[in-house]
Formats: sequence, C-alpha cells, structure tokens
Amino acid sequence: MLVVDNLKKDYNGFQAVQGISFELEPGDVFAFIGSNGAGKTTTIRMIATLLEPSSGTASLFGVDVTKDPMAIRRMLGYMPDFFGLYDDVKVWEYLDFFATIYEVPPRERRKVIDNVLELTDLSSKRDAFVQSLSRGMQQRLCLARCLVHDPKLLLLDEPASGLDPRARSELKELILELGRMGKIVIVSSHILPELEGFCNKVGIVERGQLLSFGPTSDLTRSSGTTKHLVISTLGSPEGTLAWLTSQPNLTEARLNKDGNIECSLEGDDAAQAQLLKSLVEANLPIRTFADRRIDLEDVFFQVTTGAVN
Amino acid sequence: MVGSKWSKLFRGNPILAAGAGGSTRVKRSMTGTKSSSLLVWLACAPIIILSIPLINAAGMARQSWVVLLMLAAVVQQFLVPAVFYSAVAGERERGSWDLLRVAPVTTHQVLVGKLLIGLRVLLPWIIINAVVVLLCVLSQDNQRVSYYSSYSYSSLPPYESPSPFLGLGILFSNTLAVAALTIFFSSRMKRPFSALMSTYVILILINVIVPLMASIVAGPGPGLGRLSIQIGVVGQLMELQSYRSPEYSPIFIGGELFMVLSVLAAVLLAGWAATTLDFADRNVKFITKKEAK
Ligand SMILES: Nc1ncnc2c1ncn2[C@@H]1O[C@H](COP(=O)(O)OP(=O)(O)O)[C@@H](O)[C@H]1O
Ligand SMILES: [Mg+2]
Repeated sequence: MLVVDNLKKDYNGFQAVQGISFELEPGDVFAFIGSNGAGKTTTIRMIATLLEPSSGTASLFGVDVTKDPMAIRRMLGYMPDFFGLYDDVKVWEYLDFFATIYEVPPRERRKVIDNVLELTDLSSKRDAFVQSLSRGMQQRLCLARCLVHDPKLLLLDEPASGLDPRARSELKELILELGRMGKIVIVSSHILPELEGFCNKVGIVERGQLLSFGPTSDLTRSSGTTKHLVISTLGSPEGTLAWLTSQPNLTEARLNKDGNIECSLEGDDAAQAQLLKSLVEANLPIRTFADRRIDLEDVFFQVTTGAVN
Repeated sequence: MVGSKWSKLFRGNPILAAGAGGSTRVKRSMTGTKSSSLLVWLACAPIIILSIPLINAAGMARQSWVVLLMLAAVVQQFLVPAVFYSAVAGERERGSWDLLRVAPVTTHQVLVGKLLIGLRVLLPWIIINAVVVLLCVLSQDNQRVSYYSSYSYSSLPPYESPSPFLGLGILFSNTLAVAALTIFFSSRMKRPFSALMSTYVILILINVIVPLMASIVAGPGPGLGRLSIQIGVVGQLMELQSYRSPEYSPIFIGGELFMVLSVLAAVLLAGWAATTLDFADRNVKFITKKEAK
C-alpha cells in the first residue's frame, strides 16, 4: 500500500507541490494527469527518494520514504521522464549490472534477466547494443531494468512521450500486465488519451494541487447532480431539440457532430426517468436515450481551470 | 559497526560487485570514458619505450629508474583525469544518474565503487610501471652505498640508497589522489569537460605554479624553497635520490609523509564528493538552480 500524505515541495520559495495526498492499493494502475509544470515529476521524485520533501510524508507498506530510503528503493522501480542508458553496453550486460546492484543472487540472475526480457518483449535483443535499440525499445529496456528486483511500486514518469502509436499500445499492454501482477503502478502524463482505458485510478494535478482523485469509473460517470445525456431521434431532431431547450432543468442542449442531441440535466436518476417519460408523452420520435460516457479529457477540462505555473 | 561500514563500502558494495563482475564495457560505462582502455595503453607506451635502453644499459646510470618514475608521474597527471572525469558528470549529462541513484546504494558506495572500478581500468598502467621500474632496478649495480663514497665528492656523507618501493608508493598514492580529485570535480560539475579542465588546472597549480611561485619567493636552498619542490609528485620523485642527506632542509615532506597525505587527501575528497550527492538535485555546488533543472 502506498500512502502519500500532504506532500509538499518548495523550491526556494516556489511551491511546486502544495500538499498532495492519495492512497493506492496493490494492483492499482494510477493515472497521474496534469499539464506541464503541474508538479508530477516533483511528486514522483519525492516518492522515489530522489528529492527530499519539504514537508509531508509518503510511505510504502509502512516504510517512510525519508526515514528508510534504502528499504524503499528495494521495493521501487522508477523510470524518469528523461533518461539515458549506458550506450556502450549490451542489453543483457545492462540488465546484469542492475541485477547485481539490486543484489539478485548470481544463480538467479540469468533467469531473472530472461524473464524481464520476455515480459518487455526484448528477448531477441539480448545481445544487441543498447544504443542500437529504437526509442520504444529503450523505453522498454528501462522498464525491464526497473523490474529485475521485482518491485512493488512502479513510478513511470511520462513513459509514453515520444513513442509511436504501436510502441505506445505495447507499453499500455505491459503496464496493464504489471497491474495484474499486483504491483502499484503510477503513470504520469500530460496527454490524456494516452492513459484512457487502462488505469483504474485517476488523479488530476494542477499547480501542485491534486484537484481530483478516485477510481476512473467514478470520475467518468455522470456525477450525482448533473446527468450528461445523448438522445437520438427518428428523422429530424429539430423538434425534439426545441422541446428540450424549453425545459427548465436542462442546460446546454445541442446537436453533436453525429446529428444526435447532447444535453445536461440538473437532477438525479428520478429526474432522468421523468424526462424520458415526458419526452415519450410529448410524442417525440425518440429512438435512443442514454448516458453520455464522458472520458478523461472531459473530466480534466471540467476539473482544471487551465491555469499553469 | 565500523567494520560493517567499511565492508559495505568494499566487500559488500553492490556497485563494485557489478563493475567487477561486468564486462570491460560495463567498467568503462562506470568511469564514463569510452576510450579509457586505449588511453591507458597509450600512456604505457612511452614508459615501455624509455625503459628499454635503461634496462639494457645496466650500470650505466644508477638509479635511472627514477627518471622512469618521473616520466610516469607526468604522464599520470594527464592519464588519470582522462579516465575518471566523466564518472559522475557524464552520468548526469547522459541522464543515467537518476537510474543509478534510485538503486539501493549509498552515494559513498557509488563513489568508492566508481573509484575502484576506474583503478581496475588503470591496472595495466600500475602493473607496467611497477614491473618496468623493478626490472630497471634489478638490471643495475646494487652497491650504491659504496658508489657514493668512492665518488669524487666523497666528502659528502654516504646517502642511504633511495628505495624503488618508496618511489612506486609515491607514484601510486598520487594515482589515487588524482583519481579522487577528478571524481570530486566530476561529482560537483554539470559538464564532464569542465570537470576535466578544473582537475587539470588544479594539478598544474599543485605541480607547477605553486612550487614555482614559492621558490621564487623563498629563493633556492633549504626551507621553503626546498619544501616548494616537494609539493608536487614530480618534485617528490626528483628529491627521492637525495632527500635523506643529513644537510637537508629543516622542513621537508619526505616520501612516506607524501604518501600518507596523498591517501588522506583521496579519502577526504571522495568522502566530500559523496556527501554532496545524497539527494540528486541538492547541494550540487557550482551548479545554479536554473541549470540543474
Ligand atoms: N529544481 C527545480 N528548481 C526550481 N523549480 C523547479 C525545479 N524542478 C521543477 N521546478 C518547478 O516546479 C514546477 C513543477 O515541475 P514538475 O514537477 O517538473 O512538473 P511536471 O512534471 O508536472 O511537468 C514547475 O513549475 C517547475 O518549473
Ligand atoms: Mg514532468
């Protein structure tokens, strides 16, 4: 379990992180979303024991990052946003080096290296030189390096930036697999669609503050007081749209690009049922009436003000 | 407790284990200088070439091995920084430093590991110098004490013969000190090149500028003038032949003390460098905050 409690970082009077708190369980894949300069890297580096928090704590399975950083490091895999690999070594040498540093027993080393290569789909590159790998492969090698000691927490800072779509989807698969293996995975990004669909927890950070945190399903479901609806009609939607605009508890009814009506209803589930009833009673040609699935991007724009440091 | 602390730095140091067990390529990555092995062999070349006539001409020039040591000392001032200068700054520039820092090793372990792995890269240099100097000594006349007294200026009291082991000790303790100095700059500077240049500047100061200035100020003869020569390693070796003479300077460092001071300096510099690297962004002096980002 990772508990981050009111973590703050002050760079010479500038508050880059202003009290971030969240908790994650094993198996959680956490999307840490925020614009550039929001404070994601700073937060991640504090959890990774590379940066001393100005105040607040983070603890992993009860171990405090500032009190016992060595114990934390043994449980942690960290992939920085920008990194370089030793360029004059072979893939297996690189992994062997880190396996030794993480004190993987010599007899198990070969097996561990084979396993992480397999997991990151780099088995065929075992004897290749690190600098000969593509960007996506280097990214996966860096991830493989993070895995040699079977960490409980993975901190991946903008792992998908600079990857082509194929490499990106391979990375996505890999991250999902790591979550299934029971690891806590934190993935930061400023590109929203990148994280859509494979994280079960989302946090949105802006100007050093965590504006919203929770299970992805909660955030992307219509919230309790406002219902986002999509209505399609048989034939022209104009009449229905006119009728909807006249309703007092409906806001912003409009046609979307598919020719369907999108609207927001102020009210609860009962109000939603009542609206459907009224629509049918008004004899409007309703074909479908559904909740609009909102994606992370919608949530992001709802929650943030677009203010950047 | 002290014992376990030292063992963590040496026997139980994962960096050292990884470097020692790793390939030559891994070792080079640890010191950060790609062509370091080539450099080491290039540096050995003049020593070997010079040694051939010296070893062959047995008895020609007694203690000619001192010349070999002096040449080695000069070459070493250039070679050792070239092996170590990017040990830390190179990792920073490449962006691999964080990957190493997030591993469960202390900064002291990293620094000691890099220092010893680099010395391992320098091993051919160390061995060749030791072998060549000892060969040179063996090929020469051993009766040095009588040599002096039978010489024309026999009015001088007999010198104790200079020890080639002391000479090698001076040379290799200097290897360690220069290595530590380079790693020190490497860990405190952002660019490997500036670390290299800073090291060279300091070495030129110690070996050339300061002795020169001091001898100008003090004039020749005993006292400060004598001391100034002995500040640098080349001066130390130069003095090796004669410093045990009784009419000698009242202040002198002497080979043994020079060795002790060199090793001490190495330990202090490495220790200092390590303490500044605890959190990667903090306390890196000479790097402004803006640059660090
Ligand atoms: N070493 C530093 N010194 C001063 N300010 C910094 C430093 N590192 C980051 N910052 C500032 O802290 C803020 C958060 O940065 P960062 O955590 O890198 O954001 P993100 O990763 O979300 O893009 C930014 O405004 C950045 O300029
Ligand atoms: Mg960042």
